[in-house]
Amino acid sequence: MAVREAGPEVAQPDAPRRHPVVEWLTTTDHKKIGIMYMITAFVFFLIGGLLAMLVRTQLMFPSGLFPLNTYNQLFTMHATIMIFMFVMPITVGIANYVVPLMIGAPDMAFPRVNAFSYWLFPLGGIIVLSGFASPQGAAQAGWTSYPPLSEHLTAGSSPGWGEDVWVLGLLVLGVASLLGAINMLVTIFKLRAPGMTMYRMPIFVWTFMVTSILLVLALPTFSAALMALFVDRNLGGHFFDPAPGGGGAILYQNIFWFFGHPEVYILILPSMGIISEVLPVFSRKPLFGYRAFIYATLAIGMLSFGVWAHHMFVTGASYSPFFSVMTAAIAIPTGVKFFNWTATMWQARIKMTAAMYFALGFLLLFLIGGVDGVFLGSPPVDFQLHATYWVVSHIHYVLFGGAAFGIFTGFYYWWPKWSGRFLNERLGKAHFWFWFIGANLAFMPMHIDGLEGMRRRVGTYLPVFADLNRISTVGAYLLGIGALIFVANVILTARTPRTAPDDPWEANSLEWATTSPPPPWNFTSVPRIRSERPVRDMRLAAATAAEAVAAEAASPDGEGQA
Amino acid sequence: MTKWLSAAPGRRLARLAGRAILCSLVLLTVTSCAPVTITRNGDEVHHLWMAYLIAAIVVMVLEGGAIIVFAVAFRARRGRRDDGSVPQIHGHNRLEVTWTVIPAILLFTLLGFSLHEYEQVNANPAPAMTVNVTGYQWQWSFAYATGTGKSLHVTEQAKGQDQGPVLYLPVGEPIRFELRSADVIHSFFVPAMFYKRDVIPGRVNMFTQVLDPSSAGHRYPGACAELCGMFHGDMRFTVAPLTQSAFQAWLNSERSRQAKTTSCSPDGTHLSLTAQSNHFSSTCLAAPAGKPVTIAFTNKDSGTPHNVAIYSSPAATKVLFRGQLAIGPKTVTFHVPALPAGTYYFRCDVHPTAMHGTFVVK
Repeated sequence: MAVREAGPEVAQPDAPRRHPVVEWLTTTDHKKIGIMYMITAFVFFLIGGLLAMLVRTQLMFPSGLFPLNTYNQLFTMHATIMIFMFVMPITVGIANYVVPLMIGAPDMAFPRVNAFSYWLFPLGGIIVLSGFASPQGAAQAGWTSYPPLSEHLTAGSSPGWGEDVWVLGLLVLGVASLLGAINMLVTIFKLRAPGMTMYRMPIFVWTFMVTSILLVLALPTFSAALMALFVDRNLGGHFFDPAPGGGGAILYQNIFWFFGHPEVYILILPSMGIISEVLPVFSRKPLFGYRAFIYATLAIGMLSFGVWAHHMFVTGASYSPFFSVMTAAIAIPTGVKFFNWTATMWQARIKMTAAMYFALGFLLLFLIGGVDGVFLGSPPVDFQLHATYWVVSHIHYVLFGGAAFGIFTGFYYWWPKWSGRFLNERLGKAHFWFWFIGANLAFMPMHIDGLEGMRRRVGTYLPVFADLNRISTVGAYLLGIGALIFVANVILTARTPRTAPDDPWEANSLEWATTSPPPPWNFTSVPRIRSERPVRDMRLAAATAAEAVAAEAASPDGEGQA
Repeated sequence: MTKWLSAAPGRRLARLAGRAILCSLVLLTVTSCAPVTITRNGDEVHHLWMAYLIAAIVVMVLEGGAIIVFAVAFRARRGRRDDGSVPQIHGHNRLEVTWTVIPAILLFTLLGFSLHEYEQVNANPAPAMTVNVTGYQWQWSFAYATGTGKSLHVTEQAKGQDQGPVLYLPVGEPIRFELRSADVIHSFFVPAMFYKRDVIPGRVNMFTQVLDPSSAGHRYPGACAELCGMFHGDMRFTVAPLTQSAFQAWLNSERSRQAKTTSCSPDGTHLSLTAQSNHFSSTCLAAPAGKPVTIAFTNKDSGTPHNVAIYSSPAATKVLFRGQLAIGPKTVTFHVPALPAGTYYFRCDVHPTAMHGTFVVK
């Protein structure tokens, strides 16, 4: 393993020298596109996080702080940004960088389509955010945007063009995600290196493959709902008009959640994959039950299309028993994954890096998010908990404790591969503790609020809930500080020399078989792939060879050897 | 029970501290964390919730405990060479089948209880009375349909601007709630009932509940639980259970009170009307027939929209005039077209239950 010293970049042999700005603006290199995805999504993460801080500041006081329509914009845009402009694109960015490397490919299958889908992403994001320039403000009907509230049939609904640009921006983001998903599927199916069979693919590739399948199947449904909403708002349509002759208000909810629940797994599956890479590496063990994990991922993917109306128990317009049975069923493969992760640590020699801290944080927080979600799958219990802070708590344990912790696990793990530099481990662990404690302070009290009847999406509330809300707000501020520690970590380590070797963690998958960062077409030669841990095989073979050489050198008749 | 609405600050803190301790020592919380419900269904669902909680605690302790114990026990220690000695375990079929089957049994057992309870909650026994609930942006309207005769609209507002209209209900007998929406989706939520149901335009949702006699004389907050626009958070109401005799007495007195006519002022072609604390300064306006009328309308409620709209009847189906919403503090002049003689109805479209009156054209 050669340690690459700071020095001139490896020149791209067949490309003329270009100005770096031109190079980045026109690149089709999956690694550069991946990095641009991640930087853009991280900027949106900071914006969405700032909105969350404002939301929590409002809720410090039972009578609120900001005007109520401003508050409705804050939580609507917070959720929209975090889901569509942070978690989704940042996992696409990670996959863009890592998946071709992991399967031993030189790039994505369609590099220009890849660049195109990236450039649609900031465009869509800016369109959504431009709603803040509307005189009536940005979208304020919640990220679910239920009609008739999201239409303007009544005076108090959604006037102005904030909601229209929300619809248009999400349509653009939808096209970007759809193109990206197709590209990813073709890459995984067609560009695997010789020897990289499906059952030797890293779990992250598997989870991202299932994510892409879900995107291809679910996103068009959402796009259709958005277009119908746009037609209703601007062209006199009646798709979701509750009046006789219209399509009805419930129609939208069925379409939305047919996308919306697979979407939850689109958000969490990549993080599950990241954890399944990181835990085995730092445990020095293979993932326990590799095949079972793959089957569980496929089962989740399939079942996720049969649970949508568990978001609609309280409408009285869904056949609840079917959806609660499916909901119980989908909890089983998720449970299997937990046991696999836990068993992976059995008798291990766990190296406690910042990435491993975040992976353990993921396990504990996502466990809470999984368990408190099971309550919501019971229709009668859901009658109380639906639309209360219990749900807010649940989704934040899943999407922050789960998805975001998984994403940051990936950051700390792949950072040396991406940049050639290590992040500071001590700052990374400080970041972890701020986030782990902050998340629990922010989201655990919400279970009690919610159970006792505090409703979500309210800017004012009964004073009895004030103390619990203040605890949540303090927790949210800790999360803000944690994010700033991460930013500081990135800035401080950006000036250090590029000291990262090819394989600093003694890892398993192919991205660690090339330099850090990798050269333009990734590999000069792809190692032999005979298991799901080719880099470990390579390392062991090298160690055996070195031992043999050493043994030969030590023996008296070993003279003359190199 | 009145804890729901108010509590002394000192006691509140003490209760919070107590609750926090209990809630972290999870097993003991089972009863203390949850509200005491006021319906039989609510109590049963609350028990179901507890069953889920116990299962959740067991899972959290076993699985969460295993994660923490493994992470601590199997961490690499300084000075010990890691690789080589680590067993490379790829899986264990029997173990994996076991931990698939056991959670499945647990989940489907809980689901069985849930579906049984779901049937109970959805049962619709013949009601003794029906309450017609209508959700508006951003207020509730309640009307009692009891036996024969006209239905009775609730006019009483709970103390304090936030508590909304008061819904008196008799205990011990099945009450059917019929839910309708006049505009967007709302949700009728009474936490103390452990129940909510969406109020959806173009659709009538209904459910039946029996209030527990112990709830008589107390008051419980209710509110809209589905985001419905700017003042969603303030779209509250108050549930006030009464014993059956007290309810009948209230119903009779309310009916005779509403039957009495009130004198109309102001009167003329230049009317003035003020809205303050979600109330109009007059509940009866009068005007000459066949002449256009102006209404100088002052909204003193800061940040709250009000308007004046005139309808042909309290059913508010036919609009004769609708003034623009004015967000207070603001004064606007409405120009009402000439109307034929008759008795009409005016209201604030935003707060139809709290702010309405009679518009007499002579």
